[in-house]
Amino acid sequence: MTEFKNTTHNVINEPANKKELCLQLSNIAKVFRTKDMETHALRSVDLTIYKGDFVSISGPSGCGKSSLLAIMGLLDSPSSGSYHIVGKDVSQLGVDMRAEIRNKNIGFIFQSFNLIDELSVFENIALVLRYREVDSGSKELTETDIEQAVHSALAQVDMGHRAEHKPNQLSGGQQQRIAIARALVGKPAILLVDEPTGNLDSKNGDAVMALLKSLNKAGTTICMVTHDTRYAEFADTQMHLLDGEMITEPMMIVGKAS
Amino acid sequence: MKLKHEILHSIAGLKKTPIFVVTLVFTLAITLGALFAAFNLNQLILFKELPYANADQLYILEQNIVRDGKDNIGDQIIGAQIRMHRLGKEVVSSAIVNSGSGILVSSPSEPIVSTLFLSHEFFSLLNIPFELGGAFTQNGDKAQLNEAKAEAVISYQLWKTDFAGNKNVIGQSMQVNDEQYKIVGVIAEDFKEPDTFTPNASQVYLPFKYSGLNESIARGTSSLLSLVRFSDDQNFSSITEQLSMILMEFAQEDVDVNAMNYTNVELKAHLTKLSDSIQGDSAQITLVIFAASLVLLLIAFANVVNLYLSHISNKQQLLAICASLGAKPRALFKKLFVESLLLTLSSAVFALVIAAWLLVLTREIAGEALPRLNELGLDGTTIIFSLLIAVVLAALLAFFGKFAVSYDALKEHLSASGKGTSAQVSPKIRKMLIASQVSLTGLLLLITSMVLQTNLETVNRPLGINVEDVTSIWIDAGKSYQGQQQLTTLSRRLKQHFSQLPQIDSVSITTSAPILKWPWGKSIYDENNKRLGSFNFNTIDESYMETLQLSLLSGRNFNQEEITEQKDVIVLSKASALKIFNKVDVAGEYIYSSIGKASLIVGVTENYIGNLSEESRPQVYLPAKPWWRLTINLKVKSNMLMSKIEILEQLRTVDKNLRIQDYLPLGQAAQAMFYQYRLTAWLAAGLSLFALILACTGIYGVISYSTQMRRYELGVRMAIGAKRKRIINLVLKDALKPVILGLCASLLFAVLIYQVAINQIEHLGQPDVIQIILSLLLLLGFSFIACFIPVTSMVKQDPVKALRNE
Repeated sequence: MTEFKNTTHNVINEPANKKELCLQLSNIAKVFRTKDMETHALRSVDLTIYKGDFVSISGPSGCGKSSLLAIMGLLDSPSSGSYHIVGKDVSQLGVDMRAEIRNKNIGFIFQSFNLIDELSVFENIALVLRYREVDSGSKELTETDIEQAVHSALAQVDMGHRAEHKPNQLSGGQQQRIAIARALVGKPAILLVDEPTGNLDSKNGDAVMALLKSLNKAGTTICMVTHDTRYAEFADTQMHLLDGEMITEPMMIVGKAS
Repeated sequence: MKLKHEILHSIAGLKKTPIFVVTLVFTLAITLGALFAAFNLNQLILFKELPYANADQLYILEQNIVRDGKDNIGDQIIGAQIRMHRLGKEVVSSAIVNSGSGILVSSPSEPIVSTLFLSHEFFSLLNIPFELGGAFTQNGDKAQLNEAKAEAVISYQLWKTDFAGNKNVIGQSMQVNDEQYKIVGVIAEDFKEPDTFTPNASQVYLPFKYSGLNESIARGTSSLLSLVRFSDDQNFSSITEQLSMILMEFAQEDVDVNAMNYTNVELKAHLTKLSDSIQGDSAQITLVIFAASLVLLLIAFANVVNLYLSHISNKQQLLAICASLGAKPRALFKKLFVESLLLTLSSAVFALVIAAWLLVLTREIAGEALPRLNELGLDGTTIIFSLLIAVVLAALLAFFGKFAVSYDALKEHLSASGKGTSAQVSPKIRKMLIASQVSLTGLLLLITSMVLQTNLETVNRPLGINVEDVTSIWIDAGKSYQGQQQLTTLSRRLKQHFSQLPQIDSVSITTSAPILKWPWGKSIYDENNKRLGSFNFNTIDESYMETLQLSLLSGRNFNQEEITEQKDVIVLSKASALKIFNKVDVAGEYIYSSIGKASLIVGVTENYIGNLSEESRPQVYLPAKPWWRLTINLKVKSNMLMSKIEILEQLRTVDKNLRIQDYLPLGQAAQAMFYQYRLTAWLAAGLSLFALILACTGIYGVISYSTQMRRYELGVRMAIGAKRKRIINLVLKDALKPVILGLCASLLFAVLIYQVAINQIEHLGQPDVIQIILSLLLLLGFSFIACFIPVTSMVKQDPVKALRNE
C-alpha cells in the first residue's frame, strides 16, 4: 500500500503490513525560474511507494505530473526536497551516478514509445544492458546473457516473434509492448509509466493496461501517470496532482462534483 | 557499450541519412585529398632524405662570378670548370657533369635522347645501382678525362624501350651522333637522378671526353656542373679556397676569358649542398600549397560542422532515449565520436585516392617547377597522417556535437508535445559558423580570381610572332663540318634547297629556335665598358622577321652583306631599346656586344614572348652565325604539311650525314609554354567554383535547420495573418546578417594578405576592383539563394502542419 502526505493534510492511511520500501520523495518542490517570473511546478510533494505497488498519478494538464515523473526517473533534479530510491539518497548525486541508477533501478515507459527506429526490436531492448556497467567483483554480461534476458523480456510481453523487426514495422500497441519489454529487461526496482495509452486507441490501450496489471500481479512495482481516470483505476492507489500539490481525495479535484 | 555495437548502431543510423553522409564525406574527401597531397609533397621536399648514400656529404660545385661586389651564380666558364675539376681532384672527390642531348642513330627511329656527359667518379659518388653491368672502366681513381673509353651507360627506361630489355645488351654497340659506344651498364630502375643536372631523367650517360668541351673554351654555359663529396675530416673552407685559386689563375692566364672581360671580376668556387641545390626555393612553394589546402579544409570543415550540427539536432531524441536508459554523458560522447570517426575515416579513404591522383597531376604539371617529383607517391607517413587527421576531425565534430547538446535538457525530447522545439544549438554559434564560412570562401574566391586573372592575362597575351605552320629544326651536322665557315656554307645550301620546295613559304637561319625554354644570354656594355646587363640573344638572317612575322618598329633587319661579312651590327627588341636608351627609335646608335667591340644598331623590333621563365631578360639579335649550333626555321604554306620524316629526307638530299637534333613545331612549343598557366587558370576556376558550392551547401544546411527550428513560431505568425512575403523577409533578414558580416571580413583579410604578399611575391598583379566586386556579389547571390530556398519551401505548406509539428 502507498503512503502519501502533503503539507495540508495528515496521513490518512497507514499500511497494514509494512512492505519493502522502493521509493520515497520528501518535500519535493520544483520551481522554473525565468528573468521575470517563477513557476512552481511542484510544491512540497511527499510520496512513498513500496515494492509491488501499482500507483497512478492523475491530474489536469499542467498540474505537474510529467515534472514529477521526470524527477522520479532522475531525468530532472528537484529544486528542494529529498529523494530516496532502493534505500539510496539520490538527491545530490552527480550526472554519472544518476545515469547508473536510471539504468539499473528504473524502467521508463513513454507515451510516444521512444523506440529507436534504426535498431531492431532486439537491439532496442538490449540497449539497456549494453549501457550497464558491471560493479567490481561482478561478472560482465556476455552476449549470451543479453540474448537470454532480451528474449525473456519479449516473452513477458508476448512479442518474441518480432525480435528482428524494426519499430516502424509494428503497430502502436506492439511498439508500446516493446517499450515495456525494454523497461523490464534490466529488472528495475520500479517501472515509471508516462501516459502509456496516450497514443493508442482504446482497444490497444486496454491491452497495454491489462499487461501492466498482470506484470504488477507478478510483482513489478509500477508508478503510472495518466490523465485518463478509466485507466487510473487499474492502479491499486490513485493519487491526484493539482497545481503542483498532491491531493488525497478525488472530490478535492477542482471541477469534479462531490 | 562495446565498440562493436557502437559501430553497428552508428552504421544503422547513418544509413537513414544518406544525403547527409554523402555530402559530408564528399566535402571532406576532396579537401582532405588536397591536404594529403600537399603533405606528401612537403614531406618529400622538406624532410625526406635524398636517396643517396651519405647525401649530406655531397655538394654542387659552381663558379661565382663576382662583379661589382654582386654574386652571379649560374653560368660556368667551360674551360675554368674543367680545369677546376682536373686540378681539384687532388684535394676533393669530384665528378664533372654536362647535360645535353643527342640522336640515338643506332635506333631506327633516331630518337633524341637526353644525355649526361660525365667523368667516371659520378657513379661512385652517387653510389648508383646497376641492373646490368657497371660504370665506365678507368685506370684507377685518378684517371683523366681524356683517358676515357667510348663507353655508354643507359637508363633502365631506355633499355626497356629501345633495347627491348635485352639481358645481353652489355657489350652491344650504340651510336649517339657521330660516335660509337660500347654499352657497359644499365642503371637500376629505382635510381633517381638528382634534378640539379637535368629536369628530366637522363637516358644515356657518356664519358665527358665526348661532350666536345675542353679547357680552351672560354664561353659560359649553365649546363656544366661538378659534383663533389667532402669526407668528414676535410676542411670545407680550406678546400673552397683552393678551388677558388684554381679559378682565379685560369681567369688571369686565359686570353679569351680576358677578352670576355673576366679580368675585372672575381671568380670564386661556390659550393651548395646537393639537397639545397635540388630543393632551391621550392620549399616556399610547397608550404604555400600546404597553407592553401589548410584554408580549403577550414572552409570545408565549417561547412561540415554546420551539416553535422543539423544532423545532431535530428538525433536529439535518440540521444535522449539513450540517456533515459542510463547512458552517461561520456557514453553519448563516445556515440557521437564513433559516428564521426566512421564518417571521417570514410572521407580519409576517398581522400587518399584523390591525393594519389593529385600527385600524378602534380608530377604532370609541376615537373619542371618542383624537384624530386619522380619520388612523389603515397607512403606510410602520409597514410598515418591521414588517419591522425581523421581522428582529430572526428574528435572535433564530436566535441561540437557534445557542446551543442545539453545532457540535462535531453528530457525535453522525451515528451510527445509538439508545441515547438527549442534550438539546442546556440544561434550565436550558428551565425559565427556562417560568417566564418562566408569569410573564408570570400577570401578564397578573391585569391583564386586574382590567380585566374593573372594566368588568363598571361595566356591571352599576344605572342608577338606568328608560329602557325612554322617549325624550328636544330640540325646536327656531325664532324664533317668543322668551323664556322663550313657551317655557314651548309646553312646557305640548306636555305636555298628548302626555299625551292613547293610547300615551303619561307626559310630562315638562326642559332637557336625563337621559342626556347632556356635561351642563350649575352652581356651588353656601354662605351665606358660598363655592363648594362644580360640579354637573351639569337643570331638571325635576313629572312627571320619575314618567316616569323616579327614587326620592325624602326630601322631595318640585317642585309646579306652584313651577315656574310659578320659586320658589327645589332638589332634590339623594343624592351632592350627602352632598357638601354629609354626610347625606341635608336637605329643608328651604338652599343657594345663585348668589351671594346661597338655594334651599330640597325633596327628595333617589337617584343615577342619566346619563353616565360626568362621574360625579364630582353632580346637582342646579331647577324646569323651558325657557331656551335645550326637551326633552320621553316614556314610551310597554308593547307600544306611537311612532316619530320620529309624534312629529314630533304636534309639528306643536301648531305646524307645530316641529322635532326631537335624538331620543334613552334605552334606546339607556344602551347606548351602556356600550358602551365592555362592549367593553373582552370584549377583556380575549379577551386573557386568548388569553394562556392561548399559554402552554399553549408549555408543552405544551416538556414534550413534554423527555419525548421522556428517552424512552430512561423506557423503561429502565419496562422494570425502574416503573409508569406513578411515571413520570407523576416527569415532572410536574420540569415543574411552573418553572410554580410562574413563578406566584410573576407574583404578585410584579403586586403591584409595582399599588403603582405606584395612584398614577398615578385610578379603579383594589381587586384581588379571590378573583379573583386563581382566575386563578392557572386557569393552574396549564391548565399541569398541558399537562404531563400528553405524558407519558401516552408511557407508553401499549410500553417497547421507547423503548429502540429508534422
